[in-house]
Amino acid sequence: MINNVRRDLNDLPQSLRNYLGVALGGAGLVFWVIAVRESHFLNMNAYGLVSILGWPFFVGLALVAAAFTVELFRAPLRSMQLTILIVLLVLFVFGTPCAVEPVASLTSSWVHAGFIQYIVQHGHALNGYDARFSWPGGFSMGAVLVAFAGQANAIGFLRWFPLFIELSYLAPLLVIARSSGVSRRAGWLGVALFYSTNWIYQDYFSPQALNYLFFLVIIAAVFACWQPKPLASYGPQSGFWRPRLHQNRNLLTRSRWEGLDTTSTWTSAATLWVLGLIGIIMLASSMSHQLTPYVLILALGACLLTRRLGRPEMVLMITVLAFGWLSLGASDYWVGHLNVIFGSAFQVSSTIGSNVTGRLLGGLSHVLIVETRILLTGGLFLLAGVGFLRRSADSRALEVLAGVPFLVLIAQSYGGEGLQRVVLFGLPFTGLLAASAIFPLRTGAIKAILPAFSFGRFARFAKPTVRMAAFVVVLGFALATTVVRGGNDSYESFSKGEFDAVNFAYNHVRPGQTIESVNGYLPVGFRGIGSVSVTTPAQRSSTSVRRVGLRLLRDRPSEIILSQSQQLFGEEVSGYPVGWEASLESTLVNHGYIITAQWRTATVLALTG
Amino acid sequence: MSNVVFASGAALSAVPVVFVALLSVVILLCVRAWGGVVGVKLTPLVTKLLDGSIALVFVLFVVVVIFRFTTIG
Repeated sequence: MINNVRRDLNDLPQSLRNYLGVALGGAGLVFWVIAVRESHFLNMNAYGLVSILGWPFFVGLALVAAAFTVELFRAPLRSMQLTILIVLLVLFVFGTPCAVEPVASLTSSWVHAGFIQYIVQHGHALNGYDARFSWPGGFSMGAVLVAFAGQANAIGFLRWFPLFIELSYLAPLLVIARSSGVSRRAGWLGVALFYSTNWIYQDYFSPQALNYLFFLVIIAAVFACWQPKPLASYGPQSGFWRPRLHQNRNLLTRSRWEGLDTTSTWTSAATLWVLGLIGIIMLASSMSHQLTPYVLILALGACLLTRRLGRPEMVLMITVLAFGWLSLGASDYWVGHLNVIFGSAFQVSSTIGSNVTGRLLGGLSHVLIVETRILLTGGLFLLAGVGFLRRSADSRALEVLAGVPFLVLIAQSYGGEGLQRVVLFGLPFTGLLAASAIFPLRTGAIKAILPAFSFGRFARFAKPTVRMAAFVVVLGFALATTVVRGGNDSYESFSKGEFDAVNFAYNHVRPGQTIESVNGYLPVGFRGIGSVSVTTPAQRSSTSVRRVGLRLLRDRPSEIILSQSQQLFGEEVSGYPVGWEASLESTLVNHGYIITAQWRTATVLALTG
Repeated sequence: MSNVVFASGAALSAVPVVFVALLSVVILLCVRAWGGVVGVKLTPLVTKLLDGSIALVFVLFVVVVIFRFTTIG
């Protein structure tokens, strides 16, 4: 059958074949528009986004994956068409929630809008309020953008930000792919795999999303500027390990640490300009995010050791900037509780526990989503491992860059999110290694560990098999990512009614008063930073409904918001009984609260008298 | 900056030292990088002096940062 398809494709006139990829992509886009128009946000169930996406979405995604595969196997490769198809893939995976959900998802993005609002109004960050305000660079930039765009607040930026920032990653990713030493086809497939496997929801409106762009730009500039010098020859070596060990002899030499084992591909003037820009980006990063500068230290150190960085000063520069800001600018955060930063150092097993097993809780749908995420990531790393074994190269920079972010876990658990973050920092390189499993480069001073795979007498099946493998990998990962990335959307995304309810509560609360919700899954925090308290009695997902009710009655907040997102979180993760919110509402009404406003998905209760 | 920072006089007096050390390291690194990229030929003595200064100020920076952490952390 594969041969028949191939024969049919070959029989097509050349002019038609030229447009086949783009035509399939265009058809995919039409199906995406239909899928978005036909999806109804309020019908979302415990499986999240995927539960409201109809068949047109999946047909469209399959068409885009097929179009990408068709273009990937053309000779010569057409960069423009491949770029357009990757943009379509990004639209499917990251643009769909933005288009389907009525307002921005994730409470944190709304809180960040509130931080920006505070800076717009007061001209400075609020000390002693939140750890994130100790790294205010990103929020300050947001405030400048809000003022520059003539907006009243940053809410207008929130909803489409994930799609915007993911598309911003594309340029540095393409540079990394082109300069990383993998084949061109592996480079394009690696970029597609980055987007197909990026289920880690760190692209919402946040400093970390911006800093990830900084990270990619710096690595892309380093890769583009410096190429590895050929490895020194030690004469003919016999055996498997001996030549490989000899190749690593120079790892500890002074020339390696001084960056002299690289050659610059740019002119001196261009290199100086780019170094200057990188210095400014490093400064911005060190004062706008807690984690990225430290991963940059590790990543640039890895580039230096693998002959991809010619200026060791960059490693020291980011080190002093990151620790300098921590010591001076972020002292408001760590003074008096330094154990928050260094308390989890060297407790790797506890860190892994809080990052993996600590998340495997709640109902069947939630556990299934978390397990699929683990499987997806495991599958990608398995494929990357095969790529590592199959590829020859001039430098092992990709392997080291994929692994080195994990060293962060030795120092910090990062509130149980560290593992996700380090996987994300290694993802561009893991994707390229995984692509090398399908398109391994067989030339390079560092020889492949596995011999070249031969189809033997089935050689005629080789090309169709590789094509099919590329298609299945891109489509399979993209489908899985669509499912697991939006897997928590039943409670992490919000309806218009919930947004209106929060606004209503803010309009009726006075400075110094408190708004409470049960578990915090609300679009809250975008107003009243520093003047209105927003609290949640269920600090942990294991807090029982009864205890939540008692706590609310004890706190007696001015306004209480009950909503659909909170109800679904309670049912799916906390294990509350179905309809628990209705009984809690009755309890509150019986103890002095009245319903002041009600929407289909949210209710606001206020204290009488 | 919160009031707690000023609870320790020693930690407070370390602030300008951290800042000056940071600035010195950055300037010296910029000079070294500029010389390396442009291809300025330095004598071995000047090279050693430059590298020695960077190492010395960097160590000072690390010591003062650790001092601040341990004193007021």
